[in-house]
Amino acid sequence: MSIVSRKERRLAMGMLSAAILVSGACQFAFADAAAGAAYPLSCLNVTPGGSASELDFAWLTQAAGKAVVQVAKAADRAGAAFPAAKARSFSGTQSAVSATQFNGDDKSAPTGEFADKVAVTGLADSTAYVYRVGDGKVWSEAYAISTRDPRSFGFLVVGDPQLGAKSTGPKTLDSDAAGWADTVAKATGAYADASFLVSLGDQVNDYNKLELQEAEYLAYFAPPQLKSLPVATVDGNHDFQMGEYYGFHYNQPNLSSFGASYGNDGDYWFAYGGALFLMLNSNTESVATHDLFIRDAVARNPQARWRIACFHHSIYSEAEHLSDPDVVDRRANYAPIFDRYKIDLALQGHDHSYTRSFQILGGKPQTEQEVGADGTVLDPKGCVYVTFNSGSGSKFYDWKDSDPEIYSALRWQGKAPSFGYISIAGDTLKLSVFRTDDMSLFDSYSIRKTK
Amino acid sequence: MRARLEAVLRLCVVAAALGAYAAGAASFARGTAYYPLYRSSGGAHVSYARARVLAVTSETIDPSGQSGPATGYQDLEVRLLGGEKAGTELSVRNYLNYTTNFRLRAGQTFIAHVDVADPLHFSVSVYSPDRFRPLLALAALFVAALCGIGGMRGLRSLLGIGFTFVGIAFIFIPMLYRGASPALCALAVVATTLCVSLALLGGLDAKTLSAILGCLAGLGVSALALAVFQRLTMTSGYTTAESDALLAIAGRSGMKVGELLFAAMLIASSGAIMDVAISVASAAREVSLCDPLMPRIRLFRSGMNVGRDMMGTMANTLILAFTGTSLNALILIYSLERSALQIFDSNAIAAAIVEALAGSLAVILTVPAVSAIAAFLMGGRRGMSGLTKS
Repeated sequence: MSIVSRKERRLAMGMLSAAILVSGACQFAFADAAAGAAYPLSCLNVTPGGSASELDFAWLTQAAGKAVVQVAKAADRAGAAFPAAKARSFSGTQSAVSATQFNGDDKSAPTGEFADKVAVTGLADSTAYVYRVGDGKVWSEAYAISTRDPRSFGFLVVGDPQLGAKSTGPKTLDSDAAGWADTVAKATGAYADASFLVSLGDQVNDYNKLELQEAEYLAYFAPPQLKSLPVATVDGNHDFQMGEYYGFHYNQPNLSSFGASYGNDGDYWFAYGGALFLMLNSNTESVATHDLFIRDAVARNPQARWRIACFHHSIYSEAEHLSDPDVVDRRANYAPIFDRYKIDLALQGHDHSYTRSFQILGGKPQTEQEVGADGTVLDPKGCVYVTFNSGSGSKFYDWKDSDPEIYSALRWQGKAPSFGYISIAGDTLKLSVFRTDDMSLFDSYSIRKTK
Repeated sequence: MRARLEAVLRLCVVAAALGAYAAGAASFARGTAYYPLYRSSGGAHVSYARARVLAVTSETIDPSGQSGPATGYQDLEVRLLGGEKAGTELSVRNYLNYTTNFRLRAGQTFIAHVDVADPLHFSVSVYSPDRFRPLLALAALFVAALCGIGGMRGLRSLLGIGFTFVGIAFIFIPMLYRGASPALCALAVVATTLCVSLALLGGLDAKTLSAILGCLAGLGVSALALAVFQRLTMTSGYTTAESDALLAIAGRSGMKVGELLFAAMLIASSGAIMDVAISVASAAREVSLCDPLMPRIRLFRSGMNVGRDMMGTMANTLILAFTGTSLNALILIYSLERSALQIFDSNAIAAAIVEALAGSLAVILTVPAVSAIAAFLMGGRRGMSGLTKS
């Protein structure tokens, strides 16, 4: 408990209102013994469930005990109090958190915390809910969360928030966190109806010191909007360097052992509306495991009109990592699998710059496509690969070469944080990408399936 | 005959010493921290194995007519020749595109990427052509030429190459990785390498001693010029293209990224310095053998004359070497019509200019240094005959 509040106080110094609130709550709870101690938790977050009627909660706590989430309709809330009498309770699992801090010895060590994970099912579409988490006796404060209409929906996308990269601006964790909080606030402000957010890996930066990564996780989860918006993350190379620690932070649906690097961080999928989201851990060397995972997920979701693969290490991008040997390996081995399973869209991070490829099939850019009157590409051949720039602005990479690569339809490096919004309505998928500072649009692309 | 036997014996002793040194160095190199790019749990793993194309069952090549490699794909029947799945025969689709472009034919061997997902499932793709034989053939030609024309001395210089390789791969790189000063390590490695390889090549005589001392002088000039002009141009390991990846390693191991550029350039210039030093020393020795009583001043002038000829070609050598290594970058610069400010002040080009010119400066100043030392050691009078005997 004291560890958390000390950590929270440290963050509070960084002008983060959310952190100040949590820290204040902890201190208040200390003083007010009559009300009992507040439930000690950090890193509370929600991942989209396997289907639109499910949400998957995760948080870290110092308290050994049960993991419980209570959910009620917001309409049942009268006044400030949580409507406990009308809430449904869901129990989950608790496990001791450990981390493998790679220093050549590859040894796992406990961090002294517990990871609680609870799946909440049976949620109705387009409904406002309130929830709180705890051990069944002591509770967190209540947060709002809403489900959306999956038949016509949109979701937000960001590349590497990488809090703690400290490569731009005042070069502090606080400045990275401020950039991240700004992007989250503006993106959710502009698209308040977004069903969820996809974060494409490298949520945190440090991989040498656990305490630094702990502080970065707190900053990553700090924006208050993230308690009310499901987020689907993938494992980046930075997250991955603290071993299984990444996996303890999230409750990911349909988690597979395929693609895993440390057992708890494998590929996972979820279906939402007409889309199947394939979330891959690209830190694993074995692409054959992704093959088996995708084959299984696709077979279980024959109704999905769209197949969207999300992973960290961009295979068609323009900057620093363009010709890394491991990235070239992935370019050679991922693309054929995406062709085989007819993946429509690949969302990637890692290269801290924005690139939208041409439609790519057989490793070749398909520059000739049928285009509708509104500019929408009709029944495109192959997959379009989009690499997102930094969501927080903590680090940017310059182009590797002065000319665009042969596979790039558009590249952008505005050295400003950015995010994307992707809407899927029936047969049409539309991508819009904005720089966060002035909220101007710098790329839009849409595809329609007529067959 | 007996002398020849002794020479062979001596060579065997040196080779054995080199072997022991290599083994010790290799054990030093082992166990250093490494930065994991990948990790797979649950038994999934990737390995590489030699495989043979049994048949090309079909081939779809795009005749788009664009300049560039053929694109499309081949369907191959292959047999894995080695590794854990040796003997397996299966079909593999070989994509021909801008990333992978090796059009294979029946009977050809290649390197297969064998990706094992679990005990029941694995996949195979084409990683690269089998390049071992042509590379081995080239190495064999090189060794044959070196020993055929160089004779015993060729064999000795082969040992010198071995020594250099061991020093760099097993000592220098691991030392840098572990955070030792790259500048000091480079100086130490280059100094040791040149002492040993020149001694192996020429034996311990006045010629070798002059070359070694001249080299050390040249190395000093090179180090000084690099240190001064890297500082003035603000180029360092931090301004290289790989700095980000290097910093990631440094975060773990304490590697000194900034000094790496100095180390790299010092090593790059040391070859040319050695080249000039041994040439001038060798010429001076030939001259002194013709006239053992030749005065030092005349021997010095002979050395300088040989050296002056070399300077001319050596400057060209450095420019040509630079062109060779940066040809792709030069074509891109040419195509973009960039401004002079943008070209000459860029991180890469500025660093290349410092490297080429500081290296040349060291080569040039090595000439008078070696000439003077050779003249002092091999010139007439004062009974230096003991040293000049071969």
